[in-house]
Amino acid sequence: MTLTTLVLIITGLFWLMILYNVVLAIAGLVHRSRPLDLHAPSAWPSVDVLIPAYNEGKVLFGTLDAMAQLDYPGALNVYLLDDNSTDTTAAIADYFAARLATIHHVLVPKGLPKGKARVLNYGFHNSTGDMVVVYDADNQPRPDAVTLLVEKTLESDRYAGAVGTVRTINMYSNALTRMIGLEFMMFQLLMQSGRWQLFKLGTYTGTDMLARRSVLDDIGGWDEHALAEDTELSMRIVSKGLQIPVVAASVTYEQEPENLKAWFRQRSRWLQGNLYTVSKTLHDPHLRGGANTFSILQMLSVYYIFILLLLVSDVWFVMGLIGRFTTPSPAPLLILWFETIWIYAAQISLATVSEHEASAKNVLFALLMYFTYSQLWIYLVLRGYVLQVAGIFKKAEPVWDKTPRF
Amino acid sequence: MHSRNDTWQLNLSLLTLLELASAYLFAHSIPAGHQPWAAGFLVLLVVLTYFWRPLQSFILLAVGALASSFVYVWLAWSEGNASQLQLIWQQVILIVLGTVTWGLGVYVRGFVEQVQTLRARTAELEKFSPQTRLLTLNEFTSEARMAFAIAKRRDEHNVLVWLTLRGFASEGTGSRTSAHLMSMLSDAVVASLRSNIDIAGYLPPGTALILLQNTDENGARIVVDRIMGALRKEPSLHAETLAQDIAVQVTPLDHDFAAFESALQKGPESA
Repeated sequence: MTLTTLVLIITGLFWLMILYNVVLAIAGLVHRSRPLDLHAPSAWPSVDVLIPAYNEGKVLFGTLDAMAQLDYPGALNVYLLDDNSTDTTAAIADYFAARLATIHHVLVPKGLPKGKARVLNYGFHNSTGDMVVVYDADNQPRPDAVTLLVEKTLESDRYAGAVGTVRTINMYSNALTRMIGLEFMMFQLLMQSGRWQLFKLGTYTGTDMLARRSVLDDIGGWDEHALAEDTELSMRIVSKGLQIPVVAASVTYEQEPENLKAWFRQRSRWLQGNLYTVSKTLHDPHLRGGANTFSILQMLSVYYIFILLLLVSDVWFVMGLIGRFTTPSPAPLLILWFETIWIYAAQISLATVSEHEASAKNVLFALLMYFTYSQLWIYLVLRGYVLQVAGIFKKAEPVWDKTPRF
Repeated sequence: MHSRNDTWQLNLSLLTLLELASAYLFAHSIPAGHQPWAAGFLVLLVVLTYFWRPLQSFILLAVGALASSFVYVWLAWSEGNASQLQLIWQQVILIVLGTVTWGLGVYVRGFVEQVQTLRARTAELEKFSPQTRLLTLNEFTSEARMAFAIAKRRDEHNVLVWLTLRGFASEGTGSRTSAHLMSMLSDAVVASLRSNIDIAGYLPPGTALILLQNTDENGARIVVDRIMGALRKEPSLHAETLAQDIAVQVTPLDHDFAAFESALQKGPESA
């Protein structure tokens, strides 16, 4: 294979992925622009809200106050699942539980493996509601968030539940949180709204998510070894032929890391979790097939092919800059480079418009993110590989690395 | 630094100037063969922005702007001799012109919609605290001034009742008041008052103020009991625990507005 052919293949693959993302962005906008056509049921199912918590004293008051304001017409109980916190988490939970009949403080017995999935399973087995909703302990959902998820789920027996939209409560704290907020908006527009609009494929995002109790019973609850327990759960649900609709209007606000160290820890955990899910799905014939094949292909393309292309592109760029490499390709590289940046910034800007967060400063940050935030992705994925491989060799249990709060 | 009031002037003038500049560049830099297609797209965009929903016309803008990337890559590839910088320049002009045209439309349309909404809500927004259904402190004081004037004329006595919701206190974060519990208390207050006679206000972060006209401390106690009774009827509350969090203070004021203002400045004794 000549170098020219190689360059053309890489460029072609790169552009295929960009085209796919552009189509997703437009589909996401179409999904967001459609009016909600949800109807109240004749009888509202009972709902249990599960909130796993470990040392959440900094944020829990706002969380439980927001949970108290959930405006759900049926029976709703909120369970704060305290995984043996050592800060003020228990005191705050007790404060609300003593004053509001709908909020309950549950102390989860110590056990292994540590992490969110085990705590959720405990809460799930110790509650009785028809529907189970999960929120992270730093979340502040809008009052109608749960109602919208329930209404959507009841639309069809094929719906295992529903998932809403996550926004960043501290988006404008600093440059990092702004970039995280923008990335979240883009992710939700493309990968949630876009994929649902095009392929009827939704994925749980760990919070602002609802599942029918019957479905969770059927699939055995959460996988306690999964670090990305939301993605893993979605895979098993989809393998049963069920769907997880995306309800963009059901919104929750959550806090994101305010420094790079915390961000790296959080994203490393997510990456490890997703790599675990890829591996588990590939090894389990029951999970492979159907829509899951598509999801796995997408994950492989992001975690392997895209990273490879990005590395090649960066090396190419740097070598070109120092004059050690000249491309033999007839490809119009300057315009390709410009279009890549423009499309990246445009996708983020589309997301900000759809969430009423458009501003000149956000457009500027979208451009900056291409050269800064996005490049950190390479380090993150490589670190995720190393941690995953090290875990396999050491045969160690996955370690739940909790995201610090601010 | 611009105030919020004149930001719109800056934005609108910038958008208009940008539109004029990009229209000029459109006429001089875009090849004549491409202009009719681009102009048709812009006309469609304007029509949809004003007559359709803005997000849907935005989808058209997004499709057009993103599709231009693929068109220009194709042009650059197929027309090997074309200057890439010139092609990028042409594309930027089209994107800017489209975006500014859409932005202007949305801006103007937004003003019209805001005026319509605000007309309906202005009175309510000015009067009530957004967290509760109680009057803001300014509005409460203003209405109290009239009440005291009437009380003075009739030689009646007014009473100020303070219901202060004690918050959750912890080291490091200080005391925090639950917006939800405060809202429940406010609802109980509103439900327990004589709507055209008594006045209820909100003193952040956790105090409901009630000005009772033509009554005394005994009358105030009856109203407080009624409020506590309303809280007990709320099934989602453990009302007895909540009642212990509420500090009640009754301040007799006769018809002296200056004493009322002074009491407000001092704040509740429990604070």
